[in-house]
Amino acid sequence: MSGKSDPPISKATAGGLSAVHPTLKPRDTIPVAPAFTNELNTYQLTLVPKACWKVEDMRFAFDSSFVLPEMKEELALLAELISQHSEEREGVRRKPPLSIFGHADPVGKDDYNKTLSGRRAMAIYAALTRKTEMWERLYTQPFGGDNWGNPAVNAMLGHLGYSSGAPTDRAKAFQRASGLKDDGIVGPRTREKLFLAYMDSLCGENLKLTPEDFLAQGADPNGRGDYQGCSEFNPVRIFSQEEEQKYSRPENKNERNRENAPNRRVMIFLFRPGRKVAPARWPCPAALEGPDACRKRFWSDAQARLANGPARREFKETRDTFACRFYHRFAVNSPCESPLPPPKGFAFLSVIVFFHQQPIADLAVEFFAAGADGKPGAAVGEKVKTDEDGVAKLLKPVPIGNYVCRVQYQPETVVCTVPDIEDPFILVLPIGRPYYDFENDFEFTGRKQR
Amino acid sequence: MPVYHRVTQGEFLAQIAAKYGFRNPATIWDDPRNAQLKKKRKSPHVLMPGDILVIPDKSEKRQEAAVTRVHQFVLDEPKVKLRIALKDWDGEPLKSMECVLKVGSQIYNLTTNAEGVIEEEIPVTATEGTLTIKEMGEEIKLQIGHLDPSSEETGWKARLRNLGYLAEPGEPDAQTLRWALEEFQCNNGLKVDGTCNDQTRAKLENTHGS
Repeated sequence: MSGKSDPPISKATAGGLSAVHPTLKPRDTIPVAPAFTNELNTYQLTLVPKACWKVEDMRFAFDSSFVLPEMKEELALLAELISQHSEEREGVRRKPPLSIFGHADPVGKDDYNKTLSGRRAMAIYAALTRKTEMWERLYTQPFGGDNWGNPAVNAMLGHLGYSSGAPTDRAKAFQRASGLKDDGIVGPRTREKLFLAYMDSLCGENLKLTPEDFLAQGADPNGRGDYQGCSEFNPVRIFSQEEEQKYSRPENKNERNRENAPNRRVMIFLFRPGRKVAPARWPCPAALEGPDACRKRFWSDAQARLANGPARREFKETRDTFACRFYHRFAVNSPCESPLPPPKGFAFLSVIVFFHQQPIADLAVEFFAAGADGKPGAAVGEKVKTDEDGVAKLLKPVPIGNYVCRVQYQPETVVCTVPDIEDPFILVLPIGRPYYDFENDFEFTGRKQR
Repeated sequence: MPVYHRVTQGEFLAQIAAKYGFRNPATIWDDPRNAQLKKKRKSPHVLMPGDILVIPDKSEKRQEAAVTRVHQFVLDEPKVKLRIALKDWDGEPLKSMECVLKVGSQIYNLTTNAEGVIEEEIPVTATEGTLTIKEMGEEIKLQIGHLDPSSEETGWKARLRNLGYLAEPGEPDAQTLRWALEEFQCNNGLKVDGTCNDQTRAKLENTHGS
């Protein structure tokens, strides 16, 4: 188990990931023809991302563009990624230019989703550049379900440590600390200070960008080239016809929402330092524009790509779920859109916890390397919690071998041996037994080769 | 007796002419027996392997010279012009861009003009070279004389590759090829259907410049 170094793979957190794109091999040698009269050869550069960052739906308030405090974790990954891809040139440190793409799920109208996905991209852009006026715009101009309101203010105050007392008292405390008149009313001036303090806290000292750090270098006042929303045009998951029918029934709304979660994401692509685009030549419409310009860039068979078929399609498997051809190229080799399979000799560890045939959420699960006696040895990875489906998964792949997992479940601690499998291993919590041994039920050695 | 020369990959008229000792390649190309090939191929520098070129008999060149002196006849190394337009991802020319062209042992330091074009006379025998654009971090390996006619599959795919629509090495899969064709068609105001029809081929040739 030891001796093998960490696989060169993406870094994941609970709500997102960052990854380096596979290095594009240079084009084959370029065939050229010498001129007989005055003929030319043309060599055109490509615009290919070097790295990517993704944040999931769970880091935004429900149906909203308000960035939740937990995104701090993913933003730390972004800071690291930017620094990793910066280049020193003639004594100047150049950052990799960024472009942000928001994505919505296919529920609701295109136009609505275009705006919502654009607003999410905008919210992140604003946080990175500390443009509080953009947040003020999102705050004062609610859009459908995207209404920041008091919950957002309270979440920000809470995150900044003003968490006790009535909302007015918390606001007053913040105002006093910020040198404002403590009237307890969170108006534009208080919001400006609050947004800035919150952005600073989310991004940290190291992640403070300027419009020049983006792909179009802020050349367009509406952010074309720098941030945009893709509406619902580029889902990573498309339901089967059967699922679509099932989820269209009101009683299945929550399940549909959960199954659609991977589609609601914000992606950032990082390009080579020095690359820039002219907004006029960038095909994507601005974040708050309608989706007409998007359609001009669709695959000729875009409808078929977005259609519900006999089986569910996942982009990571079929690579045919995006309607936008322009986006397709950025994303087709992106580990953020289709996570790389674990490298050879590695696997993902996961476990599903059931109790009385019901998945159990919120249980702490720990994984260990199995000792010679099959008992827990060294801890592997962080402690993880089971989700609503009872699944607990280690985000980092581990070398293939024998592992043991311990599920904390009061009052007993259950220990079992986990084979190396990608599909979750089902652990049934024993009833009334403090220790359960799977030895007779499962093969422990796992697959040696992949 | 004329020679029937079968063109192989990488050959082009000026090079073939030099091989057969012709100072002026047009002598071969303008030979009436090559009329049919001339009609088929727009440029004698973009031939297809397998094309047959008729090499006419050479005519002698007479030079009067005094018998009491030593005369030196120096043949210039035949040269050919190589022109390359460098463009950004969106088709905008890369103007005033410093680049280095290496052909054999020759190193040429060049700067692109307002159309993004570099131009250099290189030895006709050159088969490969590299073009480095430091500013953009690009090192391009050139295969001189290897461009096939756009009417051929290898030819139109090569132009898609040179124009950046096929960015990865090797034979593209169906979706990658479709992507390239549709993006090219979309950017050039053609009907977007992902197939390489005559119109697309003509536009590819036109955009590539050969």
